[in-house]
Amino acid sequence: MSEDYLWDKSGEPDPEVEQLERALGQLRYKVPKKPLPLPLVSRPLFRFRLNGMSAIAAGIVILLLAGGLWLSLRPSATVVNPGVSSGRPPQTGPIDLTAAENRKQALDQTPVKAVSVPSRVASRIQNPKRQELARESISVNARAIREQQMVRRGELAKEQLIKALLITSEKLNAMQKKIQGDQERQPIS
Amino acid sequence: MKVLNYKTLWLSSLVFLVALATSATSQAQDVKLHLDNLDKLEGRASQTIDVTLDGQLLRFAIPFLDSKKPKEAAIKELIAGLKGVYVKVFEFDKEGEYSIADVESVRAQLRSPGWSKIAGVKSNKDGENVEVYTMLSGGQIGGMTVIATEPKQLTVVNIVGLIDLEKLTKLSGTFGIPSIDVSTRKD
Repeated sequence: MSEDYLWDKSGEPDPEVEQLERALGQLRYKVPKKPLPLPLVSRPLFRFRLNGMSAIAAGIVILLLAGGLWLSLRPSATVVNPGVSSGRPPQTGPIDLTAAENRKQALDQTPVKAVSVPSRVASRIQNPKRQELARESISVNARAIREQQMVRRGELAKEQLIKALLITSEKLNAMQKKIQGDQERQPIS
Repeated sequence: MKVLNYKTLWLSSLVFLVALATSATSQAQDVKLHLDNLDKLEGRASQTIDVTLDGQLLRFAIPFLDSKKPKEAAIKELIAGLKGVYVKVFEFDKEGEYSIADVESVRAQLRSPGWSKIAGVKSNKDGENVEVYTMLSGGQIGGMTVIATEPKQLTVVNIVGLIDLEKLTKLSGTFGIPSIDVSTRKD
């Protein structure tokens, strides 16, 4: 047997090799007639390209959405006098008389009309304009009550303050008079 | 090294500020006395006056003081530097309803640094004793306490903040204000 057959099938074939070729030839890979329909390059389903204009547009849309959300979620506007808000933290240190005066003046000058419309009635009103008016009335009413409470608290504090200072002053006066009386009775010679 | 210096400087400043704040707070707390011990006398007293006005309540009172009225204008001027006014007056039907120990609980607090007794009057005739203590703060009176004891009455006044003693003394009488009746009903 020439080894050329084994190398490039040019020499004389060996019957054993031929038999082996036939036996294994059944298991040979068969090239399919149609190639698999796979794309050569994969493409994304949605390609988003952000250029300058679209970025501006997106920004405007986001701003509009945020504004709309804020308008819909914020509580109904209620006018509160300066310094009347309950969330104000207590101040420390010496008292600012001017600021306190201004608050009192603002409180005095604000017209308050107490219209009592219960909130359950307001919610039953169908007309939006009337409903808004009813809501305003409720807020004005609440403000009036709050201001009345403020006035009562202030008046009470004032009364207590005057009482306390007069008691102190009276005691100091009594002591002063006694000291002066003693000095008069025992004149320095 | 430079970074370390900055860091050290920053930390030192922070420690200094914290110490300063703590010192200021503790001083303010020292000026305000604990008068809770006297509350037990309420049960025995026939009449009690208890005034507790902290800084916030004092601010509430200011807008309601009319500057056109001399008495209120004087008070307005007087309280500008105040941070608190605390008064307790107990009036008893008979003598011996309160003890020296009750008063001592207040006097003990006045022995702390800063407080000094500026005047004291002892009257054997009517048995009325008045003691005035002040706490100086930056050359000014930063707090004041008055203890007045009578056989049937005990008065303790604690004022926190800058106070003009002379103006306070002149408050009653100067403007024709009648003497306050301590036997006023409790609010």
